[in-house]
Amino acid sequence: MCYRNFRTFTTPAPTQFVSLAADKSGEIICAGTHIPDIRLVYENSAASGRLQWSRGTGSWFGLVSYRREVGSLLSSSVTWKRNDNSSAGVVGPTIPLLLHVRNHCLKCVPVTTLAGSTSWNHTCPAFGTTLSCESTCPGSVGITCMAVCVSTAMIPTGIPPSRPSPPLERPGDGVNFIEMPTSILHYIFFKLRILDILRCLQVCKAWYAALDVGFKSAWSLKSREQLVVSSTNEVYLAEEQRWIQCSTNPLTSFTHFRQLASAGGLVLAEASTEADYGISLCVGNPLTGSWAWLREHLSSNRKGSGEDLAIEGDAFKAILADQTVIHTFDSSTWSWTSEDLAKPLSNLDDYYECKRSGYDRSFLFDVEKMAWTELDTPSILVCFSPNFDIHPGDAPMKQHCENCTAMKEIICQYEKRIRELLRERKRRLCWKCQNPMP
Amino acid sequence: MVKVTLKSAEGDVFEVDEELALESLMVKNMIEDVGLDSAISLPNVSSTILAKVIEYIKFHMDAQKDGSKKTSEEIKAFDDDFVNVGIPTLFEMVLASNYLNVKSLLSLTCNTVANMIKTKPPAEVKEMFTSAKQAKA
Repeated sequence: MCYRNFRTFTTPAPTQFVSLAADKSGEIICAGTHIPDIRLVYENSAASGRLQWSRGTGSWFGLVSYRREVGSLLSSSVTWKRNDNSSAGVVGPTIPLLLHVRNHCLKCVPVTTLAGSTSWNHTCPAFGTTLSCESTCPGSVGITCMAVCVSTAMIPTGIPPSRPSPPLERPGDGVNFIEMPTSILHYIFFKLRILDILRCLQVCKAWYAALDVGFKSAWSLKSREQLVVSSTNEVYLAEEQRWIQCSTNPLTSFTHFRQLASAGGLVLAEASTEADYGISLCVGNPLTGSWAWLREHLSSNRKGSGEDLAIEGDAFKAILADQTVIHTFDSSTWSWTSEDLAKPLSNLDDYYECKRSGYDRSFLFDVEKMAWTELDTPSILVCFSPNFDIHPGDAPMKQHCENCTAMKEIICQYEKRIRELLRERKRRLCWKCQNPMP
Repeated sequence: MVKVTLKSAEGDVFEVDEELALESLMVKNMIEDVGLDSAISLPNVSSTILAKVIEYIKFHMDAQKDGSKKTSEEIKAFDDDFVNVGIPTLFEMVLASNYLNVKSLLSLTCNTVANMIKTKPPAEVKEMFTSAKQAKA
């Protein structure tokens, strides 16, 4: 490859650049400067040739990151700049090491700093609020943080108030653990291992719901990570926006760890250990520190891939998708199966996955073929669609259905909904380039 | 030694050392807010449970004091015996320790519950916890 077109940009005052970011199309380039308060950024549109300088918030900008989809600029020890020029910023006290922006949403951005603290910033444009929560690990230098995105729908405007304990019933009135407040149930569940937690899901609806809050991530597909593991002794529950302290460092035994998906309190990751060369897949519960290795199956050249983890009864399934094949690992048989797709996928997002609770059936909806395929995956009724907004809340039914007829109705309703959305989408945007249709 | 008066749900009054009462963060906050003059009312805790909680805190404070002869085995034996109660009582102790914010007791009782759940099939867990209700009702 050869680059021949250069343009040189300069700052109004002499300064040193310390960071640089560009969006994919190269239309916007941002740079951070070293001088506090002089500022970073030019939103230069290379096409229009416009160069813009804006003022900073008083700190220098060690990191800049830009995502076009969101139209936001992230910089430094966390300064936010949105396209509308309003900027909400949290300025961290230390030098950022790692700034991670992933996928479509920029709702939750972790920034790791040299002092060993990780900040999370949530902005919720709908409410115009910025939340940040911070976890600090004194003394540790250079921690990394696997992370993260939460879709808008998942972000509360504040830390949800903890549910007040119901008035205690007097002895003789009858009390039972089934009706425990959720916070206490969580306390108890944290002391259990994976299989016990999975069993607890099946005890009753109240427990299932309690686990749903933080553990059982019914919709932790793709961009909606529920559990985030950091290399400090902590696990982050995205939905509750809080860190849970683990008794031991969940990641000490790894030399490499990258989280791919999470569900039901489990995390699917690619990792390697000292004793082991090469990267392999593993699944584990970071809270208990138990990891299982799913060997043999990580080809380094997967393309357009997607990963998912699903919980099914006492077992879990890890799903890896390439362009042409979906590999599924089933822990009940402890083996991999591969399913060839008739036609290459551009990526997993083109599929809608529909899982439902109570039945061990799930469905993929192929947008191109407009047809459902049944997969034998997991539990909860979820339509998975990063591009379309189908949430579990839209589901016509959340509980068990009695027979297959009911099942069919659900599928029909889903299909109808997806078709509607597709029509809407086609009206509004071009499928490929995302531009509005004339 | 300053005494703190605690009042249970039934209206029974317990007089305890301040040092002991401060083990409960909730009571500690109350004392900071309203002072020591009036009795601290705990409408969510029954007399039997409050007595047990006080017993627990007292034992552990004694055990931690210098010159205590208690071995870790003895402490463990006390803990085991302490939580060896019926499920309804255990339930109330969990709630009470949560309400009173006594971390060590909450941890102990929750551990006990977790141990009861461990390795049991869901049906059994459900039966165990609901039959406790029926037996009482």
